[in-house]
Amino acid sequence: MSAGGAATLSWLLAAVWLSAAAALGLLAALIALRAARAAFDGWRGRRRAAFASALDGLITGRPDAARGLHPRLWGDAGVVEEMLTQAALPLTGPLRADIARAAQDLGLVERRLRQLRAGPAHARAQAAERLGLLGSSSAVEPLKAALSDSNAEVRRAAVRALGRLRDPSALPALAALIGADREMPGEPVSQALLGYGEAAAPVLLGLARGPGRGRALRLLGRLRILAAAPLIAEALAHDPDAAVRADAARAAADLGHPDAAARLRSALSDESAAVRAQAARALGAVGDPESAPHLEAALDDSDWWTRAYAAQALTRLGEPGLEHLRRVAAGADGPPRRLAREMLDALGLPR
Amino acid sequence: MTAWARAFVTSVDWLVLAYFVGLHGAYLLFLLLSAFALRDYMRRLRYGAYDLLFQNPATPAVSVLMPAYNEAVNIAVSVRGVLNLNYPAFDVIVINDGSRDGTLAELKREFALVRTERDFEGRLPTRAVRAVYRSLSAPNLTVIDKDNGGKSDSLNAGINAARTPYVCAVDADIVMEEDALLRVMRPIVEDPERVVAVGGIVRIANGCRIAHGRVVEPRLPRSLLPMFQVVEYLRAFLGARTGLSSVNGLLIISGAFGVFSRLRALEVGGYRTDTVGEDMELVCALHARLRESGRAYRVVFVADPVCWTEVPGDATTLSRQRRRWQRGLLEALALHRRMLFDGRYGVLGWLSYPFFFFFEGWGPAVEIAGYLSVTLSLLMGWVDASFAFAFLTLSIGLGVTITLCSIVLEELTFHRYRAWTDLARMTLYGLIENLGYRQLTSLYRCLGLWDYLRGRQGWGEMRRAGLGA
Repeated sequence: MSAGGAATLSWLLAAVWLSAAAALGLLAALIALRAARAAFDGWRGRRRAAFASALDGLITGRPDAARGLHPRLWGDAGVVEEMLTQAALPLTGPLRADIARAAQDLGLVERRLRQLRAGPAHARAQAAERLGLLGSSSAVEPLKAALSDSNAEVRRAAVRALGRLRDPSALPALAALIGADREMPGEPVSQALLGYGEAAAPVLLGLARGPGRGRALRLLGRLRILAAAPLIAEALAHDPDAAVRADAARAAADLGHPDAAARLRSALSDESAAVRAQAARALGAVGDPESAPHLEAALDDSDWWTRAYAAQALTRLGEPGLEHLRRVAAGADGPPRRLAREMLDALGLPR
Repeated sequence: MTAWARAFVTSVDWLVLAYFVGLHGAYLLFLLLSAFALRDYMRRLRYGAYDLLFQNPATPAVSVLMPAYNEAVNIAVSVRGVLNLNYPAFDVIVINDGSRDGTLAELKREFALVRTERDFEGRLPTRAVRAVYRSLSAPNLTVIDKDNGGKSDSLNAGINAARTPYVCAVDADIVMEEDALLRVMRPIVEDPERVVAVGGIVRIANGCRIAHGRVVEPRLPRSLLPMFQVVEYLRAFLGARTGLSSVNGLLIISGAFGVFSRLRALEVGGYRTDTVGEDMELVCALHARLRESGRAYRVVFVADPVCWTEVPGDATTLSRQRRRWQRGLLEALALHRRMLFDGRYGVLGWLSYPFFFFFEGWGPAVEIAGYLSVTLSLLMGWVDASFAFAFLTLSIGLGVTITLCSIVLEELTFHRYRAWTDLARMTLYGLIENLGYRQLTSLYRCLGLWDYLRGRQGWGEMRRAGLGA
């Protein structure tokens, strides 16, 4: 063997030994991991059993039951927190407040607040999420501060948490995010505000002419705030932004207010297909029989969604709408007839 | 002549050595990337708030597209599993691709189908649609019966029929996790502007206990070939795809389960019907279109087990599957060859594409050539026996190390196989797969390469035991 070949061989052998050592190390790590997990699961199960009766007491309305947790809490904060948050999720009212108080008394809230203030990004996000689940009002201010965290995940988690807490003092801070935070898609802010119900109306009405007006109008519609009807109608007719007009039409659909019918009928000839489609959908929700001829005409719209929503809307107008559908179903072949027939078939009605 | 032959064979030996070093180096890099990506993913699971995602008004609607060709054995179980998904807004479109085994009759019987007229919005060309059915028992189920045109053609018909912003292409022989759609849609909900496609981990259903269209007890397969494939899938999904996804370099989303933006899929012309690598081709086409137009986008891989599939249990079916996969891979790569070492495609041009081209595409040929040349070199005395033995041991050692790393990642993350015997068996098969199974699949892939070179078409039959079996 040449000198070069011998050198290569020695390199190869070194690599063999290295890979063998790595494989053995990984094997040992696997066994250790599995053993550690088994031990941890066993310990967790035993701790859960130990706390179960105290937590049952809490959930069934005996707040003093939490006292039973204290002497044994050392090292078990994670287990107790997990059990408390799971228990709290389906609860509302005084029982949820009891759990929040217990979490506060046990120091669980303080532990998460420390993480929210000083932990790494993933820990801050987790802390925010848990604080929302634990339901303690003392977390509201730190969570409001977390809305301007440098990390988008933390901000998102803080929004969700404030949505769960439903503390009125957080409403302006949440509403200010509408249309402002571009790194928070998926509407967690809308979802959080919806959780507040009618309490969010004044703040949203104040936003209905600003940069986030489209979303504010949609939320007002979903919350069925009748005071928003004039604002919705005005935006539908005059807003220069087609996306806002479409949002206004969706809001009108959710609101279902008959006063909007005339404006919605006009919107069926809007230049934007999205507005026409949403207007057709809204006319079905409003349920004004006078809209039937307009919806029948919309069955021949160039946009598929407008046609589909118009057909759906006609079925929601009752007999006047169905009459128009039947007429189209018996008419000349084309997309309107096919759509009308499908709608009637779907309802199990004769053509 | 002998000198020439010796020089040639020795060159092949060195090429094979370089190939193994490169392949394992790439795998180690992907594993490293995967480890970081999985750490972040597991952390995010802790503040995932899936309950809110379920109630979120912005969670977009999805059409689950399920092409079915001769799937009468599994179709009812699969469709029922999909219909019971935990997701706020979805419908299911089953596309019967001219099956000859009573798939449509089975669907009609199980789901009370009635014929309907339906206007398709999409305009992708497909084979003739014979009829469209809706279900009386499941209002969100539509069945399209069409002439046989292949899986891509069926998926295109499904894209045409879908009315939702996202489509989820699934195989008819899979069992989905209840929260599969919630998990894969989360990246889209959080970043709808940029995320155009999402894939998830496919696991092996052979041996699992399945009830009511769900895997109720994950178990390892009892037979040899599926067991090897468990280890192989762990390595491919946890070890490689997760890592590639973390640098937006994912070129494959499994055809068994993948979510795509319907508009983007229409923009690139849907699935190509002239390749059996249609799933990879679509992902490549999306990458190419979006990179070329300079748009910000992401193709994401969710490191969560989302569905379970039955894998081949016999050598003949495995051979057909691997030959088809290899041909599909090479076809997709050939269609997008402009990506190779092209700076416009970033990490795709410099990492993903070269990896798939050199190691996955042509690698099997190098591997088989290596086995032959090393054997010949030994017989002729052209290479030192200790050298050959060291090389063989190293390639096995590195293969085992990479497999063990993937098993460690599984242990640290999803931990689906709970018994100690499962761990022992996975480790054992990780060790012995290098002593036969790897060579067997390399041979099948080589045959696939040959099929590609001589322009073979078609899918080949897949024999199934049935998920309920």
